[in-house]
Amino acid sequence: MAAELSFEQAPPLSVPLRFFFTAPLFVLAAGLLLVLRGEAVFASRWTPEALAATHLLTAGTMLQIMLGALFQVLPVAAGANVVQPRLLAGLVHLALSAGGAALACAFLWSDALFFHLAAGLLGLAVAALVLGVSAGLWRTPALGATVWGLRGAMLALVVTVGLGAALALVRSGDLGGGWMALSTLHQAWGLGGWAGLLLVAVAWLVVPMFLLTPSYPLLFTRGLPAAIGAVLIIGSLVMATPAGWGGGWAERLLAIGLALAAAAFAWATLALQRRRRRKITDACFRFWRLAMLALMLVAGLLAASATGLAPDAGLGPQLGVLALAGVFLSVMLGMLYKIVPFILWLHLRRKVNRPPAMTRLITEERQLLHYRLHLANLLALLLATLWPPTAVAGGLLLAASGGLLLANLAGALRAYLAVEQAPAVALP
Amino acid sequence: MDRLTHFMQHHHGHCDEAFATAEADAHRGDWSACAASLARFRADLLGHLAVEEERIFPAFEASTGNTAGPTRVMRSEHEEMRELLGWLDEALAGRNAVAFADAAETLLILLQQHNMKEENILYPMCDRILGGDEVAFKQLMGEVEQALMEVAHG
Repeated sequence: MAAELSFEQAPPLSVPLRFFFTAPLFVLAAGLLLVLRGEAVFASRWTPEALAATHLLTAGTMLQIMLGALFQVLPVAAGANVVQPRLLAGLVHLALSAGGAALACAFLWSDALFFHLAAGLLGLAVAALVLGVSAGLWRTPALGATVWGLRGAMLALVVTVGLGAALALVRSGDLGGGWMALSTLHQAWGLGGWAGLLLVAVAWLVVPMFLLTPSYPLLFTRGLPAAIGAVLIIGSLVMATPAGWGGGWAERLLAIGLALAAAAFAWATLALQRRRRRKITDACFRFWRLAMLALMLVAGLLAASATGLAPDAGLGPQLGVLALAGVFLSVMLGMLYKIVPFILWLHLRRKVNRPPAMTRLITEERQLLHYRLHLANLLALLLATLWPPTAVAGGLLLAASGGLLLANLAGALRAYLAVEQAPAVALP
Repeated sequence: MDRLTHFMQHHHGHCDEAFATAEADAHRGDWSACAASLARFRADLLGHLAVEEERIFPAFEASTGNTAGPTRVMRSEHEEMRELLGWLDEALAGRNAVAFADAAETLLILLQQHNMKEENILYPMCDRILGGDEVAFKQLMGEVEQALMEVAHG
């Protein structure tokens, strides 16, 4: 078994790239929705428009980028081979893209058929993914907190999508309205479990790697994911008791538990960043720092809402903006700008003698431009949660952000193709 | 049993330190300092690669009977790193800060993803597989520690 490990299981270029190129389209769609129906999006987290925008960013953008990265990273970082990567990625990508779009349509038009379609397609995407990667992920010879974090994240994804499918059936009228209370668990398992566990599992590797910081303390890397898992499971069990159902106890427990985990992680990461060996402050560093500052605010708002210090009204949209755009979109942008040039470079290196530097595929200036645009976007969206008429500006900036991501990725691909097709030309 | 993992991981950090200094020197445009720090990084990195290729990988390959697996990929990535060291030399010779930054970023990413695979997968496998023969493992570790100590002091 051990001797069969080859490290050479990096998938074909098209496998991760199809996810990365689709994600900005969902960002564009979310931006457009904000431009057209911004006031409704920020009126409350429960308006159809708010739910559509949220799911364009989560089931659309985040899931595309995270799954694309998993296809790339699982074999090389976790030693977990993926069964038939090209076929599996094709199926997962198709179901995910169609399912994400169907879900947004379902919310906007309150259409039962679209809810059924979305639940079926997203369920299919996740089921196919889990079947394809489980064997590798459970048998890998690799050790460490990252592998456990990835396993936990996959389990949480299954729970999230299962709960989401049940909620879709409530909206389509197949299940009674009482089941809507499951949405608390859906959010906790989705953002705290799937996205949160994935974020920390990836951070254990990439924060020391790209920013040249010391490693996270070993006990912390083991304890934090375990604590997140415990909070989610206990919160869900409390919810399942007659007293917990609708009593607000599960909500409070989940909010406080996840707020503590978020604050601890953000604090630990910012502390490591201050101790970094690398003196250069690049775009990736800025994206991560912004994400961790936003995560601190998320923790504060969550705790305030749970302890009754802040009124519930208005918290939803602010939490959503901070968590989705502030934390996850920031990290994903920073990571994409490292991962995509690296993948392209690796493939080029096999074809030409001297490929251009990774930084020539997406320049630091382009990345910094996107960082500034993203920062302006985040501030505009936060402003819109306080004063909804400004949602148009937030929407335009969000759409511009999606457009710039697409342009930067396309630019990298163009540079790749130019070198690949003209191997005799030596690029600087 | 993680003696090899622990030691080699520590030395990766040592190489990172030297890399960061050279990168910062070039960023500031202090080329004479950069020449010195790059020379130190080169010695550390090449010493590290040599100890793997000459001591650790052969022991792993002999134990597992696999010369076409992970060690072959690691060796080819070592080749790419040596090439990128050449890019850094060119940039230093031309006092070209942009070219240095380009080469440094490319080498850094290559180096870090390579180290990650070694630290998470290959070294722990070596500890597990080679650690079985205590006498031979002790001798191997002695040689590895000795070789890298000489680089650090030289």
